[in-house]
Formats: sequence, C-alpha cells, structure tokens
Amino acid sequence: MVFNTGAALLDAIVLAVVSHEQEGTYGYKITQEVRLVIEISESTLYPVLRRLQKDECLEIYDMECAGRNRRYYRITEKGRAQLNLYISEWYRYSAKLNSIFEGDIRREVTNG
Amino acid sequence: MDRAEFMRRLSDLLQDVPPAEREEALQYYNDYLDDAGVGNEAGVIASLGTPEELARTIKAGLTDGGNGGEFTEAGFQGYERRDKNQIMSTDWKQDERQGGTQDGAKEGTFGGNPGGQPGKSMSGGQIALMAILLVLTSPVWIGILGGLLGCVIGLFGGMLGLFFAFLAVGVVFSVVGVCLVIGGIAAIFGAPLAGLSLVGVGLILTSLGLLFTCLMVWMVGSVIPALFRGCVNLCSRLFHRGGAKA
Repeated sequence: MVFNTGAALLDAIVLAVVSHEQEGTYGYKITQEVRLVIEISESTLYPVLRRLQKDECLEIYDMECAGRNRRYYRITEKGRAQLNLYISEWYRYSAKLNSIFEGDIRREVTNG
Repeated sequence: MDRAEFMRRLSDLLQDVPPAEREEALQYYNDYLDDAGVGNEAGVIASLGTPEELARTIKAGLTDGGNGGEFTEAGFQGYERRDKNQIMSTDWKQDERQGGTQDGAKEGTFGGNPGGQPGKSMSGGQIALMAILLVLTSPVWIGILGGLLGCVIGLFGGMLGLFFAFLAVGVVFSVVGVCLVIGGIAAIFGAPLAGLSLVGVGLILTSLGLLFTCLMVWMVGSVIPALFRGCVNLCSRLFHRGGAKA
C-alpha cells in the first residue's frame, strides 16, 4: 500500500463497517472486512474500537453465540453523526485531490 | 506458542493496566481467537505478533488520550510495528507528536503564553544576568510597586471615607427627620399649617436617611467584599507573573 491511512480515516472506515450492521458486529468480523480494503494487522483495530467506544461513537453489548458470550459493537447516534462528518469531509478532500491530479494531467497533455 | 500460553502471557503483561481495561482487552482477543476458528488459530496468533508487542499496542492505545494521529494500517506508529520502508515518515511523525505534547503541556502551565518558552532554555549565565539587572533596576520597580500599593491603599481609604460619609448623612437625616415629625405633631395644635408641613419635611428627611442607611448596608454587604476580592486577584496575578518570569 502506497498511502498511509491516518487515524481519522481509520475511524471513518471502522464506523462505516460497523454502521452497515443494524444489529452490530464483532471484532473479528470488523477486522476481516476492513482488511478487504486496507492492509492492517490483526492487532490494529482493538485500540481503535476501544477509543471509539470511549468517545461514545460505538456501544458494546454481549450476546450468546454458540454457547459463549460474544462482544458486539453497534454504532451510536453520535457515531453516526461523526461518520457523516467524515464522509462529507472525505468527499471534499478527495474532490480537491482529483481536481489537482486531473489538472496536472491536462497540463501535461497540452504541453506534450 | 499455543493459544493458552499466548493468552496467559498477555494477561501477565497487562498486570499494570486498570482491571477493567485488562478484562476488556483479554475478552476482545479471546473472542477474536474464538471467531477465527480452531483452524486459523495458529495463523492469527502468529500475525498478532508476540504477546509483548500486543500488550504494548494495547497500552499505547490507553495512554493515547483519543485523538492522536498514531494509528495507521501498519499498527501503532512510533513503536516497533513500523514497516521498513516507512521509517522516515514514522520518525517524522514521532517528532511531530512529541512536539505536540510538549506544546500541550506548556499551554497547560502558561496559558498559551509564548513568553514561557524561552524561559525553559535559559542558561545559568542568563539567570545571573537577570538577577543583576533586577537589582540594578530596583529603584525603578520598587518605586512602581510602591506607587501601585499607594493607589490601592488610597482607593481603599476613599471607599472607607465615602462609606462613613454616607453613614453619617443617613443617621443625621433620620434623626433630624424624626425630630421634625415630633416637633410638627406638637405644633399642629398651635399652627396647623406649619405643623403639617413640618411633619411632611420630617417624613421626607427620615425616608432619605433610611435610603442612605440601606445604601450603606448594601455597600458593606456586596461592593466592599467584591472590591477586596478584585484586589486579591490582582495581587495574586502580579505575583504569579513575577514567579513565572524569574
């Protein structure tokens, strides 16, 4: 991976993954889904999930599953608001980058 | 290393974090390994790194405070889990982070006053120079301090004088008013018109006297204590700034 994923972007990705599950989802599944799009180690997400939980963007609950308790994460109202903020900021940011990239391409074409 | 040993060592390494955090982390990784399935257990344990690394990541997450920029897809930057091709950017990030926390600490103690910064790097010679300068300029600053003190004392004296004047006026008005009312009542039988006007003037004076007395009570009750508090605040601020400068 060429580009680093900073803390805010990682928060946004995790919030988005969790928000897609109405009933909440669990650590292993979140990690595997995030790993589909960016390369993270297996240990990266625990501090992120814990922090989002402390910031009240995520809430946890335990549910019985196959004879044991599994911890589930679910997005809160605050988390949803935060995610919407991240998404709108991301669109602004990526639109700016696209415009500068495409501008460069145009200049190269006209110079060439 | 098998799962039981991995979890036991992780648990040992987390002895010094708050019990709630420790339980939380242990439950998370226990769940994680359960959900990975028995077949994947060894692979997941291997990719979690050593228990030491994992414990460090967990602890770093606890002390991070919430909004640092240290988590990346490569794990927690500034620790060992950095990619070899990212060392440059990682080092830079770490420096930035240290600078950031130092700035934060300074902001806490000096209220964001940038003047606090050079004080930290002052050498012994500079301190001696400052002391000599302070002694040489003593006639000036002693004069200024004396003047300020004089102003404060003068202000207090003025307030006290005003207080006594109001009190005296209030008391005199009340006494005179009462006397006039009594005199007026006595005169009503001889000269009704003059007696009635005397009673009227006496009542006005009494009410004015009471008004002044009430004003005094209000001054004593709230204005003077407030003034005193203001003075104390001013003095403590002066003292504080002097302490920070030295």
